[in-house]
Amino acid sequence: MTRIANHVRSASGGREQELAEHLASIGRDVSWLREFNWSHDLGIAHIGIADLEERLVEHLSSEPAAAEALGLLREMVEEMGRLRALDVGDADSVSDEAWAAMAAAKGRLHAILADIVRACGALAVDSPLGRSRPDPDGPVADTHEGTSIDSRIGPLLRRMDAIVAALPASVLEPSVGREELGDALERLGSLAAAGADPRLLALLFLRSVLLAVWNTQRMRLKRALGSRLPP
Amino acid sequence: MKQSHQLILAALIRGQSFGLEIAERVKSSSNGRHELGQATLYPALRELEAGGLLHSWEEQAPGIRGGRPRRYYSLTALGSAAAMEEREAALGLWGLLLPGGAR
Repeated sequence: MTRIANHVRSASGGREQELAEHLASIGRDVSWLREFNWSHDLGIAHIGIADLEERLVEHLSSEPAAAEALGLLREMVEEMGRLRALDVGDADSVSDEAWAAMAAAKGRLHAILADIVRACGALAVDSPLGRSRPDPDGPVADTHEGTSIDSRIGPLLRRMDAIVAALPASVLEPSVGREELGDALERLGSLAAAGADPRLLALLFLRSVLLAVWNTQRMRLKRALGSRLPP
Repeated sequence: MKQSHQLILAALIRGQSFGLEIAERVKSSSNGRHELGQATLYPALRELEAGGLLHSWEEQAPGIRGGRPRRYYSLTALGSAAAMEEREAALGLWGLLLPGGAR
């Protein structure tokens, strides 16, 4: 980790994109990293290396890592509670202050997402499982029936499922959960069959939960406000 | 029309599909130049359905989805017409460009 950190520290800006480029330059698979639109979609920038390493230690020492990420989920739900407290039912009542509060909430939510993404990146760097992929020519698990996945994955996914089930409909609309998180689970099954680190899967899944929660709230705001929802 | 809407309509020209597969179609058919993330894809699907361009239904799916069905989408007649309009617009913009480059 120190070597990676030194590299990033010496790079201009010290951003994750450079970390990804470095990992690619030494032959590591970083295709999954690109999915996160590192510094664009989530607005990630100016991440201190000390902070990154501290979070790495935090997440690696938690077993499972989902426990830590669940704390972030709770934090997000609290933010959503503040957002819902705004009187958005009547478009005429939406003041500039309300929009500013929403923008701030969204920024905060993205910061929380960024925390999880950083943890995912850190896990990928140091995960022993990430360094030891299964034989690509070996047998492939049948993820479509959900019966042959590594025994570590099943309990993990059930735990994640329980997290979703525990969320009230006011936070995660059932239709959103069925569709988006079902797709997320299906994708994680494929990643699990390919030998992905269970801790990484947990964090990826929680990231999907966070986005689904955000989409629920955004959908409701849009219903209430029509075209006034900011991009 | 938003680019995300264009991409989804284009992906569904090949036939009905569900969110995860739509995202994969967009990525593969654009040679990785376009991707739809979760935060963009699902709201866009709902917007297109609300606008009458798509219709959707649920079907039971593999067990790995934790008992959640897949929600499939397909183009409506209005969606097909919108896709055709987008195609015509793209051809108008790019149709004169030949594989060898601009004249």
